[in-house]
Amino acid sequence: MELQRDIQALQNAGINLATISYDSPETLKRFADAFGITFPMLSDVGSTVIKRFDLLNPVPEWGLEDGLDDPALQETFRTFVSVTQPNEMFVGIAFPGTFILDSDGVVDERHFENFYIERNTVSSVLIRRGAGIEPVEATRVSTAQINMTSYSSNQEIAVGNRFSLVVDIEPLEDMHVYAPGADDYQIVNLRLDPNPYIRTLPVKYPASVMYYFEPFDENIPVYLDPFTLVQEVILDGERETQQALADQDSITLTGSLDYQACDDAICYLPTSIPVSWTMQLRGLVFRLPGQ
Amino acid sequence: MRKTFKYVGRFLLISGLMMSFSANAQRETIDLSTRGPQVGESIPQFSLPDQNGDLWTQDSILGTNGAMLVFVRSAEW
Repeated sequence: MELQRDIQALQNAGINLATISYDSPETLKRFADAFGITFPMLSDVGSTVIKRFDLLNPVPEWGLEDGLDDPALQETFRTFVSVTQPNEMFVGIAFPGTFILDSDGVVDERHFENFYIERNTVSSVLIRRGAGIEPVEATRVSTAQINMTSYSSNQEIAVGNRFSLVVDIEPLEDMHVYAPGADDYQIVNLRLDPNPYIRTLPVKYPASVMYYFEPFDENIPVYLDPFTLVQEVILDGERETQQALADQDSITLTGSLDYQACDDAICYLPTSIPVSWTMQLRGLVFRLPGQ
Repeated sequence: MRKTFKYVGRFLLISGLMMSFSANAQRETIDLSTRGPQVGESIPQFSLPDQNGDLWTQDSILGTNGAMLVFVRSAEW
């Protein structure tokens, strides 16, 4: 299970991990033993706490009551429950999602994806929180103006996963790289080539600083210190994508880092560095072995 | 008499349809952004057993920098 693999990174960041589901402790015990789970998997039989959180998924009951003849309900069922038929066993499930709590138990971040197998990867959450991860496989490129390291938050992904493509950029001495708002220059940008199996979220930029560029007597937003761009990506969870990727061992995403850098005297031409990320594909674990 | 039954039957059928229609109409559109505690809010209190029978609360799950609390559908399917 993905969460177990990432637990060390979470613990290093001082973040505990727990799951809540409507399963019995016995079911959870079987699962934990089968997959070597060490974090607490909390059992909410009867879904009392799930209801208290206002996260009870009502759609399984709608499906049982009405069947799936109504196309709108069928679509809702497919999105929030399953591509299979309504079944008693779905009643009581929670909407899957993640809360990141601070040390006082206050919600710092929350992630509830609409499609039921879209899930944040732990590494992606850590990167967003600035906790960082050690890139296992990174690509390093140096130009006359910057050093760039690119990596994926996850070496292995599954359909429905939400993960991050990360680029660490270090402007060389006296260099600055143009940040959003510097409209007369090539603003640093991570651009992904179109891929039918992914959806992308807007690139996340850190705060920039204002820089006085004497030759033109202007103030412009730039990055002077090392900074990180994060491109969150969702590997589509639709059935068609699952089928299309079923025979593939890996997926490669390509794109470029576009930027323009200047020092205090010279402005260099806009530059584009090709980048690519290859991630292994794996199936989602839905069942216990032998079931 | 037979006609009356027919009318009653039709009435029941129509009311049945209306009831099922209104039941559908009452179903809310699911908007996950409004579900559950929001950013800046505390989570509800709870005390739940884990896979080993140990009890955990909203406070005891927290590490020095907090916790990641993941709602999952089921471990079984």
